[in-house]
Amino acid sequence: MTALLALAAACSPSSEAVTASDPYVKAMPAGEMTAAFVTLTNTTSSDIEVTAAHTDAAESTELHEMTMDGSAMVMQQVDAITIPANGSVTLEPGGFHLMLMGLTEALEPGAEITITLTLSTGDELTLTAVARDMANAQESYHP
Amino acid sequence: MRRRGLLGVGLGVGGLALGAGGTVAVDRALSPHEPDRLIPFHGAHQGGVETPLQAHGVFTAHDLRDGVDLAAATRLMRLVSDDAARLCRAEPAVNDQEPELARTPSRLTVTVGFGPGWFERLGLQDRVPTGFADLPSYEIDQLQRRWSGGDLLLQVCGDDALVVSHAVRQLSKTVRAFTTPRWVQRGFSTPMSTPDSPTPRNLMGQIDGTVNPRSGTDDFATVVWADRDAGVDWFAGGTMLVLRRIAMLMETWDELDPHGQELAVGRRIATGAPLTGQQEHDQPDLNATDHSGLPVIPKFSHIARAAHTDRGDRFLRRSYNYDEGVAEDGTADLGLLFAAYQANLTRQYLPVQGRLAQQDLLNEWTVPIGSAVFALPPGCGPDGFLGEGLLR
Repeated sequence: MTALLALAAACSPSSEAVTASDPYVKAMPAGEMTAAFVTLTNTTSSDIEVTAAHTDAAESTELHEMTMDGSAMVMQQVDAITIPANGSVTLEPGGFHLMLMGLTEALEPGAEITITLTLSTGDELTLTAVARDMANAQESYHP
Repeated sequence: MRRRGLLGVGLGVGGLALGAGGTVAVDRALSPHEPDRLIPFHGAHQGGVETPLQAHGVFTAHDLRDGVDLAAATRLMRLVSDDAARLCRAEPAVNDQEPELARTPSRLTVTVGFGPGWFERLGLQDRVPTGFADLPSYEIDQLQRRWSGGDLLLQVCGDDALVVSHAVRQLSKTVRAFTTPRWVQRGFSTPMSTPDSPTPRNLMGQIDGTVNPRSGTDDFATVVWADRDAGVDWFAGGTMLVLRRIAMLMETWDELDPHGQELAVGRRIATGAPLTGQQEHDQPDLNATDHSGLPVIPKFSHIARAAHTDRGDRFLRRSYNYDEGVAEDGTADLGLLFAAYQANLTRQYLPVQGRLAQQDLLNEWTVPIGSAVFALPPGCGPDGFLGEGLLR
Protein backbone atom coordinates (compact mmCIF):
# COMPACT_ATOMS: atom_id res chain seq x y z
CA MET A 1 0.00 0.00 0.00
CA THR A 2 2.83 2.32 0.87
CA ALA A 3 4.40 1.57 -2.45
CA LEU A 4 1.25 2.40 -4.34
CA LEU A 5 0.82 5.69 -2.52
CA ALA A 6 4.45 6.57 -3.12
CA LEU A 7 3.91 5.66 -6.73
CA ALA A 8 0.88 7.87 -7.07
CA ALA A 9 2.64 10.76 -5.44
CA ALA A 10 5.95 10.45 -7.22
CA CYS A 11 5.03 9.72 -10.78
CA SER A 12 3.59 11.54 -13.74
CA PRO A 13 0.22 10.26 -15.02
CA SER A 14 1.73 8.28 -17.89
CA SER A 15 3.82 6.20 -15.49
CA GLU A 16 0.69 4.45 -14.26
CA ALA A 17 1.35 2.21 -17.21
CA VAL A 18 3.39 0.21 -14.73
CA THR A 19 2.32 -0.63 -11.21
CA ALA A 20 4.30 -2.32 -8.49
CA SER A 21 3.17 -4.62 -5.73
CA ASP A 22 4.90 -5.93 -2.64
CA PRO A 23 8.40 -4.49 -3.02
CA TYR A 24 10.75 -6.06 -0.46
CA VAL A 25 14.44 -6.33 0.17
CA LYS A 26 16.56 -8.76 2.12
CA ALA A 27 17.72 -7.33 5.45
CA MET A 28 21.52 -7.10 5.61
CA PRO A 29 24.26 -5.35 7.61
CA ALA A 30 25.83 -2.10 6.44
CA GLY A 31 28.41 -2.45 3.68
CA GLU A 32 27.00 -5.74 2.44
CA MET A 33 25.20 -6.37 -0.79
CA THR A 34 21.60 -7.38 -0.91
CA ALA A 35 18.73 -7.96 -3.31
CA ALA A 36 15.33 -6.36 -3.75
CA PHE A 37 12.21 -7.91 -5.23
CA VAL A 38 8.86 -6.71 -6.58
CA THR A 39 6.09 -7.66 -8.97
CA LEU A 40 5.73 -5.18 -11.82
CA THR A 41 2.59 -5.06 -13.95
CA ASN A 42 2.33 -3.44 -17.34
CA THR A 43 -1.16 -2.17 -18.16
CA THR A 44 -0.30 -1.09 -21.70
CA SER A 45 -0.34 -3.09 -24.92
CA SER A 46 3.40 -2.63 -25.48
CA ASP A 47 6.33 -4.22 -23.69
CA ILE A 48 8.08 -1.90 -21.24
CA GLU A 49 11.61 -2.41 -19.97
CA VAL A 50 13.19 -1.57 -16.66
CA THR A 51 16.52 -0.15 -17.78
CA ALA A 52 18.07 0.99 -14.50
CA ALA A 53 17.52 1.14 -10.76
CA HIS A 54 18.77 3.50 -8.10
CA THR A 55 18.58 3.81 -4.34
CA ASP A 56 20.38 6.09 -1.92
CA ALA A 57 20.57 3.11 0.44
CA ALA A 58 23.39 1.53 -1.59
CA GLU A 59 26.53 2.66 -3.37
CA SER A 60 25.32 1.13 -6.62
CA THR A 61 22.32 -0.78 -7.89
CA GLU A 62 22.22 -3.18 -10.83
CA LEU A 63 19.67 -5.35 -12.60
CA HIS A 64 20.48 -9.02 -12.19
CA GLU A 65 19.17 -12.46 -12.91
CA MET A 66 20.02 -15.94 -11.71
CA THR A 67 20.69 -18.46 -14.46
CA MET A 68 22.04 -21.98 -14.73
CA ASP A 69 25.68 -22.26 -15.73
CA GLY A 70 26.18 -25.96 -16.18
CA SER A 71 24.97 -27.37 -12.88
CA ALA A 72 25.34 -24.19 -10.80
CA MET A 73 23.10 -21.16 -10.39
CA VAL A 74 25.04 -18.03 -11.12
CA MET A 75 24.13 -14.40 -10.95
CA GLN A 76 24.66 -12.17 -13.92
CA GLN A 77 23.97 -8.57 -14.73
CA VAL A 78 21.34 -7.82 -17.36
CA ASP A 79 20.79 -4.65 -19.38
CA ALA A 80 17.05 -4.59 -18.90
CA ILE A 81 14.12 -6.50 -17.42
CA THR A 82 11.09 -6.70 -19.68
CA ILE A 83 7.58 -6.22 -18.32
CA PRO A 84 5.45 -7.86 -21.02
CA ALA A 85 2.51 -5.98 -22.54
CA ASN A 86 -0.65 -6.51 -20.48
CA GLY A 87 1.36 -8.76 -18.23
CA SER A 88 3.69 -8.75 -15.31
CA VAL A 89 7.13 -9.81 -14.24
CA THR A 90 7.98 -10.96 -10.75
CA LEU A 91 11.44 -10.21 -9.40
CA GLU A 92 12.02 -12.97 -6.87
CA PRO A 93 14.74 -15.02 -5.21
CA GLY A 94 16.29 -17.31 -7.79
CA GLY A 95 15.23 -15.07 -10.67
CA PHE A 96 15.37 -11.45 -11.66
CA HIS A 97 16.28 -9.08 -8.83
CA LEU A 98 17.64 -5.66 -8.12
CA MET A 99 21.20 -5.98 -6.80
CA LEU A 100 22.14 -3.40 -4.18
CA MET A 101 25.89 -3.19 -3.63
CA GLY A 102 27.48 -1.53 -0.62
CA LEU A 103 24.60 -0.77 1.72
CA THR A 104 25.21 2.67 3.17
CA GLU A 105 23.68 1.60 6.48
CA ALA A 106 22.35 -1.55 8.08
CA LEU A 107 19.04 -2.64 6.67
CA GLU A 108 17.05 -3.99 9.63
CA PRO A 109 13.92 -6.10 9.18
CA GLY A 110 10.91 -3.84 8.76
CA ALA A 111 13.00 -0.88 7.60
CA GLU A 112 11.94 0.79 4.38
CA ILE A 113 14.08 2.06 1.52
CA THR A 114 13.13 3.96 -1.59
CA ILE A 115 14.16 2.53 -4.95
CA THR A 116 13.66 4.33 -8.24
CA LEU A 117 13.30 2.34 -11.45
CA THR A 118 13.97 3.89 -14.83
CA LEU A 119 11.62 2.63 -17.55
CA SER A 120 12.13 2.45 -21.28
CA THR A 121 9.25 4.90 -21.63
CA GLY A 122 11.44 7.51 -19.99
CA ASP A 123 9.33 7.46 -16.84
CA GLU A 124 10.51 6.66 -13.37
CA LEU A 125 8.79 4.40 -10.90
CA THR A 126 9.42 4.88 -7.20
CA LEU A 127 9.10 1.91 -4.85
CA THR A 128 9.17 1.69 -1.09
CA ALA A 129 10.70 -1.69 -0.30
CA VAL A 130 10.30 -3.24 3.14
CA ALA A 131 13.27 -5.16 4.53
CA ARG A 132 12.61 -8.79 5.43
CA ASP A 133 14.59 -11.32 7.43
CA MET A 134 15.23 -13.86 4.66
CA ALA A 135 17.10 -17.14 4.69
CA ASN A 136 16.68 -17.43 0.94
CA ALA A 137 18.11 -15.10 -1.68
CA GLN A 138 21.59 -16.36 -0.75
CA GLU A 139 22.79 -15.26 -4.18
CA SER A 140 22.73 -11.72 -2.94
CA TYR A 141 25.75 -12.12 -0.72
CA HIS A 142 27.47 -15.24 -2.03
CA PRO A 143 27.68 -14.29 -5.69
CA MET B 1 -7.07 -24.07 -9.45
CA ARG B 2 -9.94 -21.66 -9.71
CA ARG B 3 -8.88 -19.81 -6.60
CA ARG B 4 -5.28 -19.79 -7.67
CA GLY B 5 -6.16 -18.19 -10.97
CA LEU B 6 -8.15 -15.51 -9.31
CA LEU B 7 -5.37 -14.71 -6.89
CA GLY B 8 -3.20 -14.22 -9.93
CA VAL B 9 -5.61 -11.54 -11.06
CA GLY B 10 -5.45 -10.09 -7.57
CA LEU B 11 -1.73 -9.66 -7.99
CA GLY B 12 -2.32 -8.15 -11.39
CA VAL B 13 -4.13 -5.17 -9.96
CA GLY B 14 -0.89 -4.20 -8.30
CA GLY B 15 -0.87 -2.45 -4.98
CA LEU B 16 -4.59 -2.90 -4.57
CA ALA B 17 -4.02 -6.54 -3.77
CA LEU B 18 -2.57 -5.32 -0.49
CA GLY B 19 -5.78 -3.71 0.65
CA ALA B 20 -9.48 -4.26 0.32
CA GLY B 21 -9.12 -5.09 -3.36
CA GLY B 22 -7.46 -8.39 -2.59
CA THR B 23 -10.26 -9.41 -0.27
CA VAL B 24 -12.88 -8.63 -2.86
CA ALA B 25 -11.03 -10.66 -5.45
CA VAL B 26 -10.93 -13.66 -3.14
CA ASP B 27 -14.55 -13.37 -2.09
CA ARG B 28 -15.75 -13.33 -5.66
CA ALA B 29 -13.85 -16.49 -6.45
CA LEU B 30 -15.35 -18.55 -3.68
CA SER B 31 -18.57 -20.49 -3.63
CA PRO B 32 -21.36 -19.05 -1.49
CA HIS B 33 -20.24 -21.04 1.54
CA GLU B 34 -16.58 -20.31 1.36
CA PRO B 35 -16.49 -16.65 2.42
CA ASP B 36 -17.35 -17.99 5.86
CA ARG B 37 -13.97 -19.61 5.83
CA LEU B 38 -12.21 -16.23 5.91
CA ILE B 39 -12.25 -14.25 9.16
CA PRO B 40 -11.44 -10.58 8.49
CA PHE B 41 -8.11 -9.59 10.00
CA HIS B 42 -8.84 -5.87 9.96
CA GLY B 43 -11.46 -4.38 12.24
CA ALA B 44 -12.18 -2.79 15.59
CA HIS B 45 -11.16 -5.94 17.46
CA GLN B 46 -8.65 -8.67 16.76
CA GLY B 47 -9.93 -12.00 15.48
CA GLY B 48 -9.61 -15.23 17.38
CA VAL B 49 -11.57 -14.01 20.39
CA GLU B 50 -15.17 -13.52 19.31
CA THR B 51 -14.57 -15.94 16.43
CA PRO B 52 -16.39 -19.25 17.07
CA LEU B 53 -13.73 -21.71 18.22
CA GLN B 54 -11.67 -23.17 15.38
CA ALA B 55 -10.39 -26.76 15.38
CA HIS B 56 -6.75 -25.89 16.07
CA GLY B 57 -5.09 -23.27 18.22
CA VAL B 58 -1.37 -22.61 18.59
CA PHE B 59 -0.06 -20.15 21.14
CA THR B 60 3.57 -19.05 20.80
CA ALA B 61 5.36 -16.76 23.24
CA HIS B 62 8.48 -14.79 22.45
CA ASP B 63 10.83 -12.59 24.48
CA LEU B 64 12.17 -9.34 23.10
CA ARG B 65 15.86 -9.40 22.27
CA ASP B 66 18.16 -6.98 24.05
CA GLY B 67 18.30 -3.68 22.24
CA VAL B 68 14.82 -3.85 20.73
CA ASP B 69 13.48 -0.35 21.24
CA LEU B 70 10.20 1.36 20.34
CA ALA B 71 11.26 1.89 16.74
CA ALA B 72 12.18 -1.77 16.35
CA ALA B 73 8.99 -2.90 18.09
CA THR B 74 7.05 -0.77 15.62
CA ARG B 75 8.81 -2.41 12.68
CA LEU B 76 8.09 -5.79 14.25
CA MET B 77 4.38 -5.11 14.62
CA ARG B 78 4.12 -3.72 11.08
CA LEU B 79 5.65 -6.91 9.71
CA VAL B 80 3.51 -9.19 11.88
CA SER B 81 0.37 -7.29 10.90
CA ASP B 82 1.29 -7.50 7.22
CA ASP B 83 1.90 -11.25 7.41
CA ALA B 84 -1.27 -11.81 9.43
CA ALA B 85 -3.50 -9.80 7.11
CA ARG B 86 -2.33 -11.74 4.07
CA LEU B 87 -2.48 -15.16 5.71
CA CYS B 88 -5.99 -14.49 7.04
CA ARG B 89 -7.07 -13.71 3.46
CA ALA B 90 -5.63 -17.13 2.50
CA GLU B 91 -2.83 -15.40 0.59
CA PRO B 92 0.89 -16.06 1.01
CA ALA B 93 2.95 -13.68 3.12
CA VAL B 94 5.73 -11.64 1.53
CA ASN B 95 8.58 -14.02 0.66
CA ASP B 96 6.39 -16.90 1.83
CA GLN B 97 8.43 -19.98 0.98
CA GLU B 98 5.49 -22.40 1.11
CA PRO B 99 2.87 -20.19 -0.53
CA GLU B 100 0.64 -23.16 -1.44
CA LEU B 101 0.05 -23.86 2.25
CA ALA B 102 -1.46 -20.41 2.75
CA ARG B 103 -4.16 -20.75 0.13
CA THR B 104 -6.77 -22.88 1.88
CA PRO B 105 -9.39 -20.69 3.58
CA SER B 106 -9.75 -22.28 7.01
CA ARG B 107 -11.04 -19.52 9.32
CA LEU B 108 -7.46 -18.60 10.14
CA THR B 109 -7.03 -15.94 12.80
CA VAL B 110 -3.81 -14.38 14.09
CA THR B 111 -4.06 -12.63 17.43
CA VAL B 112 -1.26 -10.67 19.06
CA GLY B 113 -0.74 -9.96 22.76
CA PHE B 114 1.78 -8.09 24.89
CA GLY B 115 3.06 -9.60 28.15
CA PRO B 116 4.17 -7.56 31.17
CA GLY B 117 7.78 -7.75 29.94
CA TRP B 118 6.83 -6.03 26.68
CA PHE B 119 5.85 -2.91 28.58
CA GLU B 120 8.88 -3.06 30.89
CA ARG B 121 11.49 -3.64 28.21
CA LEU B 122 10.10 -0.90 25.97
CA GLY B 123 9.76 1.61 28.80
CA LEU B 124 5.99 1.69 28.47
CA GLN B 125 5.12 0.98 32.11
CA ASP B 126 2.93 4.08 32.27
CA ARG B 127 0.82 2.78 29.40
CA VAL B 128 -0.14 -0.55 30.95
CA PRO B 129 -3.93 -0.88 30.87
CA THR B 130 -5.72 -0.72 34.19
CA GLY B 131 -6.30 -4.19 35.57
CA PHE B 132 -3.43 -5.85 33.68
CA ALA B 133 -0.81 -7.60 35.80
CA ASP B 134 0.78 -10.98 36.34
CA LEU B 135 -1.32 -13.38 38.38
CA PRO B 136 -0.35 -13.90 42.01
CA SER B 137 1.08 -17.33 42.77
CA TYR B 138 -1.43 -19.88 43.98
CA GLU B 139 -0.83 -22.89 46.22
CA ILE B 140 -2.28 -25.18 43.58
CA ASP B 141 0.28 -23.99 41.01
CA GLN B 142 3.16 -26.17 39.90
CA LEU B 143 4.24 -23.76 37.19
CA GLN B 144 7.07 -24.56 34.83
CA ARG B 145 9.01 -21.80 33.17
CA ARG B 146 8.78 -23.57 29.82
CA TRP B 147 5.02 -22.97 29.76
CA SER B 148 4.93 -19.58 31.46
CA GLY B 149 5.43 -15.89 30.79
CA GLY B 150 6.53 -14.20 27.59
CA ASP B 151 6.81 -10.67 26.21
CA LEU B 152 4.90 -11.27 22.98
CA LEU B 153 2.10 -13.70 22.22
CA LEU B 154 1.04 -14.94 18.81
CA GLN B 155 -2.21 -16.89 18.90
CA VAL B 156 -2.92 -18.65 15.62
CA CYS B 157 -6.20 -20.52 15.20
CA GLY B 158 -7.82 -22.21 12.22
CA ASP B 159 -9.70 -25.28 11.10
CA ASP B 160 -6.89 -26.78 8.99
CA ALA B 161 -3.85 -27.88 11.02
CA LEU B 162 -1.59 -27.56 7.99
CA VAL B 163 -2.61 -23.97 7.37
CA VAL B 164 -2.19 -23.14 11.05
CA SER B 165 1.25 -24.74 11.16
CA HIS B 166 2.34 -22.80 8.11
CA ALA B 167 1.10 -19.52 9.54
CA VAL B 168 2.97 -20.17 12.79
CA ARG B 169 6.13 -20.98 10.86
CA GLN B 170 5.86 -17.85 8.71
CA LEU B 171 5.21 -15.60 11.71
CA SER B 172 8.05 -17.23 13.65
CA LYS B 173 10.44 -16.33 10.85
CA THR B 174 9.17 -12.77 10.85
CA VAL B 175 9.60 -12.23 14.61
CA ARG B 176 12.93 -14.03 15.07
CA ALA B 177 15.11 -10.99 14.32
CA PHE B 178 13.41 -9.17 17.19
CA THR B 179 12.64 -11.94 19.67
CA THR B 180 13.76 -15.30 20.99
CA PRO B 181 11.25 -18.14 21.26
CA ARG B 182 9.98 -18.86 24.76
CA TRP B 183 7.33 -21.55 24.38
CA VAL B 184 4.88 -23.05 21.94
CA GLN B 185 1.61 -24.62 23.06
CA ARG B 186 -0.53 -26.49 20.60
CA GLY B 187 -4.18 -27.29 21.15
CA PHE B 188 -7.19 -28.75 19.42
CA SER B 189 -10.92 -28.88 19.91
CA THR B 190 -14.12 -29.89 18.27
CA PRO B 191 -14.66 -26.69 16.28
CA MET B 192 -17.65 -24.41 16.65
CA SER B 193 -18.59 -23.30 13.16
CA THR B 194 -21.16 -20.82 14.51
CA PRO B 195 -22.03 -19.37 17.94
CA ASP B 196 -24.89 -21.92 17.97
CA SER B 197 -22.62 -24.93 17.62
CA PRO B 198 -22.64 -27.38 20.53
CA THR B 199 -20.26 -26.54 23.36
CA PRO B 200 -17.13 -28.70 22.89
CA ARG B 201 -15.94 -31.27 25.41
CA ASN B 202 -12.56 -31.39 27.14
CA LEU B 203 -10.39 -34.49 27.53
CA MET B 204 -12.12 -35.43 30.78
CA GLY B 205 -15.25 -35.77 28.67
CA GLN B 206 -16.92 -32.75 30.22
CA ILE B 207 -18.81 -30.19 28.19
CA ASP B 208 -16.53 -27.21 28.84
CA GLY B 209 -17.49 -23.59 28.20
CA THR B 210 -21.22 -23.61 28.91
CA VAL B 211 -21.31 -20.35 30.83
CA ASN B 212 -19.84 -18.05 28.23
CA PRO B 213 -20.85 -14.67 26.86
CA ARG B 214 -22.35 -15.21 23.43
CA SER B 215 -20.51 -13.92 20.35
CA GLY B 216 -22.11 -10.87 18.79
CA THR B 217 -24.04 -9.70 21.85
CA ASP B 218 -23.73 -6.54 23.90
CA ASP B 219 -23.03 -8.78 26.86
CA PHE B 220 -19.99 -10.19 25.07
CA ALA B 221 -18.69 -6.70 24.36
CA THR B 222 -19.15 -5.64 27.97
CA VAL B 223 -17.36 -8.68 29.37
CA VAL B 224 -14.55 -9.01 26.83
CA TRP B 225 -13.69 -5.70 25.15
CA ALA B 226 -12.02 -2.95 27.10
CA ASP B 227 -13.47 0.53 26.80
CA ARG B 228 -12.07 3.91 27.77
CA ASP B 229 -12.15 2.77 31.39
CA ALA B 230 -8.96 0.88 30.63
CA GLY B 231 -7.19 4.06 31.71
CA VAL B 232 -5.14 4.23 28.54
CA ASP B 233 -6.81 5.22 25.29
CA TRP B 234 -4.83 2.85 23.11
CA PHE B 235 -6.39 -0.21 24.75
CA ALA B 236 -10.05 0.56 23.96
CA GLY B 237 -11.28 -2.38 21.91
CA GLY B 238 -8.61 -4.69 23.31
CA THR B 239 -8.87 -7.51 25.81
CA MET B 240 -6.73 -9.37 28.33
CA LEU B 241 -5.82 -13.03 28.05
CA VAL B 242 -5.00 -15.41 30.86
CA LEU B 243 -3.53 -18.61 29.42
CA ARG B 244 -3.11 -21.47 31.90
CA ARG B 245 -1.74 -24.86 30.97
CA ILE B 246 -3.71 -27.23 33.17
CA ALA B 247 -2.53 -30.83 33.33
CA MET B 248 -5.25 -33.42 33.82
CA LEU B 249 -4.34 -36.33 36.08
CA MET B 250 -6.19 -38.89 34.03
CA GLU B 251 -4.91 -41.95 35.87
CA THR B 252 -6.53 -40.92 39.16
CA TRP B 253 -9.54 -39.33 37.42
CA ASP B 254 -10.11 -42.76 35.84
CA GLU B 255 -10.45 -44.21 39.34
CA LEU B 256 -13.62 -42.21 39.89
CA ASP B 257 -16.97 -43.62 38.87
CA PRO B 258 -19.12 -41.31 36.74
CA HIS B 259 -21.17 -40.22 39.76
CA GLY B 260 -18.03 -39.13 41.61
CA GLN B 261 -16.85 -37.24 38.53
CA GLU B 262 -20.18 -35.46 38.29
CA LEU B 263 -20.08 -34.44 41.96
CA ALA B 264 -16.62 -32.94 41.46
CA VAL B 265 -17.82 -30.87 38.54
CA GLY B 266 -21.44 -30.22 39.58
CA ARG B 267 -22.68 -31.17 36.12
CA ARG B 268 -23.69 -34.36 34.38
CA ILE B 269 -20.97 -35.63 32.07
CA ALA B 270 -23.34 -36.82 29.34
CA THR B 271 -25.41 -33.66 28.93
CA GLY B 272 -23.50 -30.95 30.72
CA ALA B 273 -26.66 -30.18 32.66
CA PRO B 274 -26.19 -28.99 36.23
CA LEU B 275 -27.01 -31.70 38.77
CA THR B 276 -30.14 -29.71 39.58
CA GLY B 277 -31.27 -29.46 35.95
CA GLN B 278 -32.05 -31.38 32.80
CA GLN B 279 -30.29 -29.46 30.04
CA GLU B 280 -26.87 -27.90 29.56
CA HIS B 281 -28.00 -24.32 29.81
CA ASP B 282 -30.34 -24.79 32.79
CA GLN B 283 -29.37 -22.44 35.59
CA PRO B 284 -27.71 -24.38 38.44
CA ASP B 285 -29.60 -24.21 41.75
CA LEU B 286 -26.72 -24.02 44.18
CA ASN B 287 -29.12 -24.01 47.16
CA ALA B 288 -31.03 -27.17 46.25
CA THR B 289 -30.72 -30.02 48.75
CA ASP B 290 -31.49 -33.71 48.47
CA HIS B 291 -33.76 -35.78 50.74
CA SER B 292 -31.06 -35.98 53.38
CA GLY B 293 -30.51 -32.24 53.37
CA LEU B 294 -27.17 -32.28 51.53
CA PRO B 295 -26.58 -29.87 48.63
CA VAL B 296 -27.34 -31.50 45.26
CA ILE B 297 -24.44 -29.54 43.80
CA PRO B 298 -21.62 -29.88 46.35
CA LYS B 299 -20.45 -26.57 47.77
CA PHE B 300 -16.88 -27.31 46.71
CA SER B 301 -17.76 -28.57 43.23
CA HIS B 302 -16.19 -26.76 40.31
CA ILE B 303 -19.30 -24.93 39.15
CA ALA B 304 -20.29 -23.89 42.67
CA ARG B 305 -16.87 -22.36 43.24
CA ALA B 306 -16.60 -20.85 39.75
CA ALA B 307 -20.11 -19.39 39.68
CA HIS B 308 -19.93 -15.64 39.33
CA THR B 309 -21.07 -13.62 42.26
CA ASP B 310 -22.10 -10.54 40.32
CA ARG B 311 -21.91 -9.20 36.77
CA GLY B 312 -18.31 -8.23 37.36
CA ASP B 313 -16.47 -11.53 37.68
CA ARG B 314 -17.18 -13.10 34.31
CA PHE B 315 -14.99 -13.77 31.30
CA LEU B 316 -14.89 -15.60 27.98
CA ARG B 317 -13.40 -19.08 28.05
CA ARG B 318 -11.96 -20.13 24.71
CA SER B 319 -9.87 -23.11 25.65
CA TYR B 320 -8.10 -25.77 23.65
CA ASN B 321 -7.14 -29.31 24.62
CA TYR B 322 -3.56 -30.47 24.49
CA ASP B 323 -2.26 -34.04 24.23
CA GLU B 324 1.50 -34.53 24.17
CA GLY B 325 1.36 -38.29 24.48
CA VAL B 326 2.99 -39.99 27.45
CA ALA B 327 5.03 -38.28 30.15
CA GLU B 328 8.36 -39.66 31.35
CA ASP B 329 6.62 -41.39 34.26
CA GLY B 330 4.31 -43.20 31.87
CA THR B 331 1.20 -41.18 32.66
CA ALA B 332 -0.90 -39.38 30.09
CA ASP B 333 0.53 -35.94 29.28
CA LEU B 334 -2.65 -34.11 28.41
CA GLY B 335 -4.88 -31.36 29.63
CA LEU B 336 -6.33 -28.00 28.83
CA LEU B 337 -4.92 -24.79 27.42
CA PHE B 338 -7.33 -22.76 29.49
CA ALA B 339 -7.77 -19.39 27.80
CA ALA B 340 -9.81 -16.67 29.50
CA TYR B 341 -10.46 -13.27 27.90
CA GLN B 342 -11.77 -10.26 29.76
CA ALA B 343 -11.71 -6.47 29.62
CA ASN B 344 -10.11 -6.22 33.06
CA LEU B 345 -8.10 -9.15 34.38
CA THR B 346 -7.81 -7.96 37.97
CA ARG B 347 -11.48 -7.20 38.36
CA GLN B 348 -13.02 -10.05 36.39
CA TYR B 349 -10.59 -12.97 36.50
CA LEU B 350 -8.79 -12.83 39.82
CA PRO B 351 -11.88 -13.29 42.03
CA VAL B 352 -12.81 -16.51 40.24
CA GLN B 353 -9.26 -17.87 40.13
CA GLY B 354 -8.88 -17.02 43.81
CA ARG B 355 -11.97 -19.02 44.74
CA LEU B 356 -10.96 -22.00 42.61
CA ALA B 357 -7.41 -22.00 43.96
CA GLN B 358 -8.73 -21.93 47.49
CA GLN B 359 -11.24 -24.74 47.10
CA ASP B 360 -12.41 -26.72 44.08
CA LEU B 361 -12.94 -30.48 44.10
CA LEU B 362 -11.55 -30.64 40.56
CA ASN B 363 -8.14 -29.46 41.85
CA GLU B 364 -7.57 -33.06 42.94
CA TRP B 365 -7.26 -34.04 39.28
CA THR B 366 -6.03 -30.83 37.64
CA VAL B 367 -2.70 -29.07 38.09
CA PRO B 368 -1.76 -25.68 36.58
CA ILE B 369 1.72 -26.17 35.10
CA GLY B 370 1.89 -23.03 32.97
CA SER B 371 0.60 -19.49 33.27
CA ALA B 372 0.91 -16.34 31.21
CA VAL B 373 -0.98 -13.08 30.78
CA PHE B 374 -1.15 -10.83 27.73
CA ALA B 375 -2.80 -7.54 26.85
CA LEU B 376 -4.32 -7.97 23.38
CA PRO B 377 -4.47 -4.61 21.60
CA PRO B 378 -7.52 -3.62 19.58
CA GLY B 379 -7.67 -4.49 15.89
CA CYS B 380 -6.26 -2.30 13.13
CA GLY B 381 -7.26 -1.03 9.71
CA PRO B 382 -5.65 -1.91 6.37
CA ASP B 383 -3.26 1.03 6.62
CA GLY B 384 -2.44 0.45 10.28
CA PHE B 385 -0.80 -2.22 12.41
CA LEU B 386 -1.52 -3.99 15.66
CA GLY B 387 -0.37 -2.02 18.67
CA GLU B 388 -0.13 1.24 16.75
CA GLY B 389 -1.91 3.17 19.48
CA LEU B 390 0.63 1.99 22.03
CA LEU B 391 3.76 2.33 19.93
CA ARG B 392 3.08 5.58 18.10
